[in-house]
Amino acid sequence: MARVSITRLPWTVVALALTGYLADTNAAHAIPAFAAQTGEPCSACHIGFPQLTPYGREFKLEGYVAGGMFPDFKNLALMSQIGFTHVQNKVPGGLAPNYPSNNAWSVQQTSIFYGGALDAKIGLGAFIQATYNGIGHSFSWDNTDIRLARLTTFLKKPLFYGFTFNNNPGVTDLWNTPPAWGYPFLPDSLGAGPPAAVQLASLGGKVMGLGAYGAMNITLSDLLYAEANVYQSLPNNLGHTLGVGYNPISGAIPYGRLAWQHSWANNSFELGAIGLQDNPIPSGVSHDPADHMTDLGVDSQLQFISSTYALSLQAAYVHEWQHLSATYAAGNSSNLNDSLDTITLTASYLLHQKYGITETYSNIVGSSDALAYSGSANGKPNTSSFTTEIDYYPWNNGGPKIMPWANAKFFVEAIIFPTFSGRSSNYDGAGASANANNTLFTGIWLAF
Amino acid sequence: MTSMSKLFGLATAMLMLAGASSALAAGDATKGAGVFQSQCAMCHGVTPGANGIGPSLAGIYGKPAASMAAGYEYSAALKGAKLVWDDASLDKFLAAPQSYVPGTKMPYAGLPDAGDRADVIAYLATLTGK
Repeated sequence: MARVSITRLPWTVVALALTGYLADTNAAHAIPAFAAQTGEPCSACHIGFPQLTPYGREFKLEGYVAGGMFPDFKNLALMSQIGFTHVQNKVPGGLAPNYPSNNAWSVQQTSIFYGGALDAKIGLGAFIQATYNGIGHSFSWDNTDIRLARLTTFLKKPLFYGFTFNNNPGVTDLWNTPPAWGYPFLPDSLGAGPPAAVQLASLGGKVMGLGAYGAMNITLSDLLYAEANVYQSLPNNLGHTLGVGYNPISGAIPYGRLAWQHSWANNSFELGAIGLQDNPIPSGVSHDPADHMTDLGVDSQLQFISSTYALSLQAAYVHEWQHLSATYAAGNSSNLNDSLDTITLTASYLLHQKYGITETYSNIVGSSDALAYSGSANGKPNTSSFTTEIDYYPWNNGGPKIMPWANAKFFVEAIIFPTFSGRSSNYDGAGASANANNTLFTGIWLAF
Repeated sequence: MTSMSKLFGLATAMLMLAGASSALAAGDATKGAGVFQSQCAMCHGVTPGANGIGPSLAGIYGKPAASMAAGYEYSAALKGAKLVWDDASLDKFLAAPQSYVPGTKMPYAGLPDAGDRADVIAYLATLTGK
């Protein structure tokens, strides 16, 4: 049983204290599987986690093979996220089934990974994650990206090209603006979340697909990146076998990504576009009528890295066109066509690879639809939030002697909701205020 | 020391100088420094002991690969490649590191322009290990 009750708090304290003891150690490794393969500290690839550095982007482009040849036990890793959740107003009935109405410890997720080379000579490598959800008490496959990467020249320019099998649109991305590796960096499964999300943020694990990508250095400082994938929803049996259930989507799901990156020294600026189209079947029954969704987004990332600090700024905007023919016919939406817009602005600062702060503004705005958003008094999904995350990484510059590849992040995250489900006050028609959902989430992310 | 051994030593020294100067002659070290700054400096230092994500490249020119940067953990692939960093090996490595030494820790698309590579090699040849 993954739930950690208040009565088990002393064991958690002991674990945290032990972690603190282990922090007094020596030479650095970090992201467990990749660090063990490359012998590099996690700071080589990450500004905190999961944001990628230039080295991390090249490592991913090249198929996760650098420093490795074939699978090794070092390519296996474990990760766990343990935290304490406090919400401003208690939630009658509990934060989740079998959880108290407020102030709960939880082991939110525990994952096992394979990360690294499968056959470096042909450029074959993988990132494979399977996760136990400690809140829902379920086990499922998680982010997966198996890729074959090759290097060639095109128009006398170096070109990395590759092929990928993956299960999440955006999981292949090199920047931290798409939802797969973007905000929220530390989701709290016991906290409240917005009532709607675009498809780009909703398909992780529910689909599988094949794709191809290319990254060409058009100058020594400029990189052009293009990727095209085609997904399909998991068949019923496979979906249940992999722990994600059946989420039927009619037909193929095309996904595309374009980005330009300009680099100077350790700094970089990225500007990109992203798109996806799918036909989810709201009834959940294969071959029933489907809706039609189109997502189109733009994003940008600016990253400064020096020997003492790292600063990154990210912006992402996605517009979703929703043609709700099936939902409307079933009487579950007021409009045949709705839309949803999301904007996310993030600024992160990491000092000495140890002390980090991240501030994020997120805003979701959608059509007024009393049936689609029946929990909202004004029928709107509009939800805005400010998230402040303060982190301490004890091992970015030096892991413990007994586990030099281990990594950890102590975090405190505060989420403030100026608006929630359409309003700042009385959003549900029963007197609830948006700030009732304000959440404090603190704990440790541990990987080894 | 016999006159024969003196002659041998002189010839060896002249050959070494000729080898070192071949890179300098082929490439422009000043231009190479610029390419190095934009392509290499984010991971590599140029003074002894200045290891970053990659090893310090001070004094590597003409030396066995994976031998110079004390304290840096080289990849098994590079250690096992038994290379000497001369003009030819550096040229191939800089063109496509992962193709030349599969398993190297250096994920880099490479320098496609032979002139850029020659300039960087000329610059590396100017870096002393002391």
